[in-house]
Amino acid sequence: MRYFYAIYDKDKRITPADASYQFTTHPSIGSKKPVKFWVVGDSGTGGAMQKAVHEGMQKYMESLKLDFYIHVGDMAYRSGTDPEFSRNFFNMYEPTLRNTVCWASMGNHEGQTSSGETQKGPYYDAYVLPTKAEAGGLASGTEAYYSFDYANTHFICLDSHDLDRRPLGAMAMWLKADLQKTKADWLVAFWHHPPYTKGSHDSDREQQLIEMREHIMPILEASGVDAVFTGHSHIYERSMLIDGAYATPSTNQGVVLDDGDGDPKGDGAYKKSAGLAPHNGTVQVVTGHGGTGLRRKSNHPLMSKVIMLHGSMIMEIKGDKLTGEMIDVHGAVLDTFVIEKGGKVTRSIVENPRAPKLIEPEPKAKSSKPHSMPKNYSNVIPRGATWHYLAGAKLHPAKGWASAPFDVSDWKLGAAGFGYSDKDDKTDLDMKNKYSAVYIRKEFTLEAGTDFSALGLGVSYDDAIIVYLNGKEIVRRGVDSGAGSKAKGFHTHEAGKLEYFPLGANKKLLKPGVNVIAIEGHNAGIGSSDFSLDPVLILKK
Amino acid sequence: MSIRFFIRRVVVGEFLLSAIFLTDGLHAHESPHDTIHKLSHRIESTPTNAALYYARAIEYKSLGKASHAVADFRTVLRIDPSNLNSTLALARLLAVQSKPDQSLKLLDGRLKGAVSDESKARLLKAKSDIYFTTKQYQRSYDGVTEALTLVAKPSDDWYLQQAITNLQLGELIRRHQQLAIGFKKSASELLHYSWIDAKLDAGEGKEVKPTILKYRTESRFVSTWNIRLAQTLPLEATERKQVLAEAVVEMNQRLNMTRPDVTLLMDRCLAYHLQGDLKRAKQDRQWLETMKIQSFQILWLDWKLQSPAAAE
Repeated sequence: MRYFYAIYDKDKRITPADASYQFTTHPSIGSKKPVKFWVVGDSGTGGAMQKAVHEGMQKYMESLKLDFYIHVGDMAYRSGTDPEFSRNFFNMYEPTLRNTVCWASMGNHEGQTSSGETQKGPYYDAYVLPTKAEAGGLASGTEAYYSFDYANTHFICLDSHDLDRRPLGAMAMWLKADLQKTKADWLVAFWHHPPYTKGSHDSDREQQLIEMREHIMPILEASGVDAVFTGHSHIYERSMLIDGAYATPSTNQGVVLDDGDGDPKGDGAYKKSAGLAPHNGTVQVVTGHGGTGLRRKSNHPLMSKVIMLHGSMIMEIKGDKLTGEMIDVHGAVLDTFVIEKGGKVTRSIVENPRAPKLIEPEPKAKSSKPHSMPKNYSNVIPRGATWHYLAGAKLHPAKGWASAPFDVSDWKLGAAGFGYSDKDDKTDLDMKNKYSAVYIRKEFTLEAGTDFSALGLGVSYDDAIIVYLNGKEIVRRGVDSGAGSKAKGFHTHEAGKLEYFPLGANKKLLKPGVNVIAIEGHNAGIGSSDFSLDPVLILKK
Repeated sequence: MSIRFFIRRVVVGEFLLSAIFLTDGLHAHESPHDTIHKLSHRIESTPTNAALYYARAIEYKSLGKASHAVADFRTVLRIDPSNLNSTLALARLLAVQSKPDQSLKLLDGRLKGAVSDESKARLLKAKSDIYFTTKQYQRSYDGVTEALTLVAKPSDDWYLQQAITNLQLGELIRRHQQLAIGFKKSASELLHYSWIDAKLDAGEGKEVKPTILKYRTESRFVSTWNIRLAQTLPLEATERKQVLAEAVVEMNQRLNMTRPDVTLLMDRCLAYHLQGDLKRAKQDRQWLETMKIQSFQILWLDWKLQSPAAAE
């Protein structure tokens, strides 16, 4: 059931009349409705990478709708205080949170100001989590650990931070009882401290991590858990299909059931028996790469894929398949695994499994610090000038749009800058959640005898631009490849002072008389909080 | 209802602010070793900042370096004697180090200055833990029972501790009565199930048999419910033998024999005992012993193993 809502402060409506203010309740327990959910962890910095990871997910999803999302903790650095929750969680994820439930697990940073034992502190103020099995599962009587059902999948959240993790402690005993009861076809568990990692943390040396592996994993695997999501370690690590890997230090001997990559386009999907079969294999995902700095100590021997790039997971459970995709900040898929269930799959061990595949970022190119505008110049196209622009959902210009002549009769006219939200725009665009590219062009005249090598472009932009002079690309910032509707690989960039690009090297493209400059501006994500494109063309003196 | 999950309450947490790291400049993505290194560096320049010692103690604790953690918690308390979290953490560590007297002295000292009911309750519960480990069950019972009266939402552990002290004191009726209060207050099914066990242990199995049958029907794995059901049936009843045999088969299918799920192994030990297979029950109990699990549940299992196999 879908509900639309508005929030009022007495008679004053706070939320705009916008259909995105909505939520959908879960389908009935046991139904076969597919589910698509986002998993993110260790994100709460309030910084550019957190924003980029969120936008990467939005770009990947485009018009698709998440059913809910899971946060595996550390959502409000440094200490999970109320202002940090506002700044680093609610404000950052507002476009998603307004219509998507977040199921949360407390991280150690929230644990500095909140307590699982007393269920008090800002984390417990921020969420109302089920204590009486309101969304399915078994009543835990506490918000610190709980379970819920979505269609035919059972989800379990545990507190790995500050509660007793021993196998006969209250949390483990509740877990055992909860697992005995569920009749779901799929089982997913999540908490903060990873049982298997060699990222910024080491699961062979740290107490919480060791205990979750040695004490909690046997209970989960005896009930057929399919996937476990954690964070804490700031890296993406995704395991092979494993079972019974409880030893310290971790070893890959005798515990790997499938050492392939789990990708149907690669080594093939992981196979498991239908329903929840004990000890039939689990995939562990450390998704601590949601925004904060990344670290890697070494490669954990149980991992299939280790990725040193920021991102998050999109998970889909549909029929007899569970699909996990790691999405980077550009919305690109960097890792895929599938668990396919059917019939009876006999447990067999892979001897001497393969080593993990490591993906690291490309070495950074020498930094190209933006130039400041020259002190003395004359305007060719001044700030605030009127440009032709094309902007709208699925609107992209015809071939040749960046050259002169070109028919712009169906383009609009507007004063620069173009954009929304950050109050630096003269032409406001309705692009948020609708489209992410805007095209502008303007003809300008250069007198004979002008020093063409003095031409330069000043531009304030958010997030990316491709600039054309008389039809030829001359500047590209924040777009890895392609152009127009085929542009991809966006990087976030904040607008600010005009950044200066000398165009003297392109003087051969210029001619006395009429020339044309054209710019396509891109947002890194369709739901980005702002967009800016504010150019000026000058002659340096 | 879903919207409630992301609308913020405006209540402000009342405690733990003393535990906030004053650690500007330390990056969130560092390992415990890196964090300890940087905290130590900062402690050199600001040696009276209690928060830095507390933060370092937590990191030491996570690495299993108990003596380092103890030293830092002690320093915190020298600088800020009223620090509740350091008091509790230090008391627990001292108990683990087999220093219960030091632990109790510390807790008693802090109790004298405790102002809020919640602080008192947490200190009393910690004292109860120490008394329990030293087998002073009456004192442990008194402590946790007083603590339970002081807080609105006690965790399940508190009720379970009260229940196990009742068991040790032979108070079987009071045990299930107090678990029933706990279940009503918290709605935790774990307490409900513990209440069912307590009713069985008190010889009131008939009363809970319908509930056991209902839950058994609702469950995917039935071994635990079969074990409970068996305790409501006469010793020679065929059904009793059947449900226990069924339980053992199911548990054997689920147990990883290299490193078993302790909760299942405990159940199997009890099932063998109820079957009268004392040899296998003993083997499982010895296996549990090798795993060095400290828990109320193990004490309860030992109590069960000393009891006759039949309930009625």
